[in-house]
Amino acid sequence: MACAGPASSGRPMEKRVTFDNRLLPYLLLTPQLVVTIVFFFWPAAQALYQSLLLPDPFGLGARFVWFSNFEYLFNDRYYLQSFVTTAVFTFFVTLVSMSVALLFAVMADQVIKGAGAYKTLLIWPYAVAPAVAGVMWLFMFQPSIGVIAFYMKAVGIDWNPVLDGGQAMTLVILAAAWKQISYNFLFFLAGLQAIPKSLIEAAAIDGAGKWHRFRTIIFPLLSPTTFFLLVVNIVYAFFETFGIIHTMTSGGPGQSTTILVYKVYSDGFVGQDLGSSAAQSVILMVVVGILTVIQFRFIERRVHY
Amino acid sequence: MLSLPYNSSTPVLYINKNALEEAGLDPEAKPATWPEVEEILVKLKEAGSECPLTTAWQSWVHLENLSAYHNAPFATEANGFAGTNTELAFNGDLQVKHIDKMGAWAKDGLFSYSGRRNEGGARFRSGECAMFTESSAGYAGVKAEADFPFTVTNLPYWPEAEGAPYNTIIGGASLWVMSGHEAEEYAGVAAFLNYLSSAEVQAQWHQDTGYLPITTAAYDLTKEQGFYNENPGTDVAILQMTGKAPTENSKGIRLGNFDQIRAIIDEELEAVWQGQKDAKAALDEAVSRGNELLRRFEQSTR
Repeated sequence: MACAGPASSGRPMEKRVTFDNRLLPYLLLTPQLVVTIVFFFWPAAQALYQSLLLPDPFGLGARFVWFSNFEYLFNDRYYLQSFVTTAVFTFFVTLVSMSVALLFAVMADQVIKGAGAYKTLLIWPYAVAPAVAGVMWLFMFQPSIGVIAFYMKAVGIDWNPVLDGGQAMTLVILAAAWKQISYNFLFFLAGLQAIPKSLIEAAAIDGAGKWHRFRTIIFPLLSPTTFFLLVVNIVYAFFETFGIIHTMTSGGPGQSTTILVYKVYSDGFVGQDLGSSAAQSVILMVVVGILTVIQFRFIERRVHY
Repeated sequence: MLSLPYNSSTPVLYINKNALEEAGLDPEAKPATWPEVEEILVKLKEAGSECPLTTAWQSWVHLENLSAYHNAPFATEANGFAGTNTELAFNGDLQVKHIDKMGAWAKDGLFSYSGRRNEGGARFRSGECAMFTESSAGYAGVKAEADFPFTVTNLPYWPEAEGAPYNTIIGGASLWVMSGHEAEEYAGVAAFLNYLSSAEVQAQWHQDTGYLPITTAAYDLTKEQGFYNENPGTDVAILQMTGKAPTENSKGIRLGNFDQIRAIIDEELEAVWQGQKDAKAALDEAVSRGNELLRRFEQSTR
């Protein structure tokens, strides 16, 4: 109970505002704790437990099979290939969504007239659900019905993501990145506005050009934001993109856009193989955990707070 | 009966009559066999068609129904009905030959792949694709949107297969009633199911959508109303399904993890259409990957 904070001191000379109630800190933490337990710890524990089970076809009973779900997965070379696919997808989604968002934020930061309208419009796509975003991109780029695909073919581009794995991957990366740009934009803009103007003005007086100021002052001072967004974007690409994949490619052609989380979704919810799906979730959880630790150990060192 | 069949359909061939006419072919042609289809595809291509043939639901049409239609097993143990120890068998000579042919057509621009579901529908209805293998239930959409005359005819078959064509099999869904409710709720359910399967409702459903009527009475009523005479091709699916007494290979398919197996089939067929794999290698791989899922399913039912 030593960690109860300011409430533990009862000295009369204390000038700070203190709360003597020992329960209050816990009470204030309760909402967040409840949310974390109900929406993270409980499902995670369920996934761990289910990953050791083989449920029957109608989900009425299950057999305990130890680690055979994991054994099955790691013997499947298509599953292993899906790690590579996920890495490519995540790298480009993060790169595209963060760099475009940074560009927009820098530009929006300089806008004087109608800044509010620009900002609102740039933030808008964040409200679009992934599956809906997928369908919208499909309406533009699906080779049979897509409006833009029609003009691409008209000017002679051999556009067929239905059979060309590289084009399919490009398409899902763009759709997934587009959806995340808004979120990144918001944080980058806030980060930019927190940089003291005096620093930039001083550099300008010293004769530093626009690019030089950005590279040596603005970008380093944005590094906490960039680091935070890097973690968030990787988690986004890993976990929240199955709706986009499902509506746009179903993981195809072949397995060229089958990322790990899509396989979790399709094996679990379409194929009803909950044991394997749970085992895949556990693996995914471990992978993202490791990635986050790596980021905090090695990349965070270069962040200036 | 385990559940009440409802939206059942079977694959048929749709043909754009205008496309045939523009290629100098008989617009009324109803090619019965794949070699006859091939002749037409070649001429369509020569006449400049970008998409002579496309398909919906490739696994269902070009492997599952293909197998039933030629009395070839899709899987052992009577396509899975005799036990969960079933193994996939769609890498037989007939299936390899068919997929090999379609792969060659894809390479030559005679067959154009549209996607795993029924994406090809938009391409046929807009007139881009001249021929289209799709569920009989695609009829409503084609009728509503196509601004050209079209033919609905039997799914083509390979004449050298002995006794072919047999019957095709259904796809679709059925209505299940769950246990654990009150008796009076079941009375309501029964009344509703009786209403749904009444001849009038079934006949209208069948005529509006192209799904199969689930009772003979509904079929007879539709005939009496003169619907088949006014809308040629709408009875093709029924005749094709019921044309012959079904065999062990043409009764249907019952497999565990079938959704995932179909996804594997889609992946392997896409490799054929891309020219990355030959038909035999792709089907062998699909069979071996699918068998692993069947073994997994077998374990789960023990």
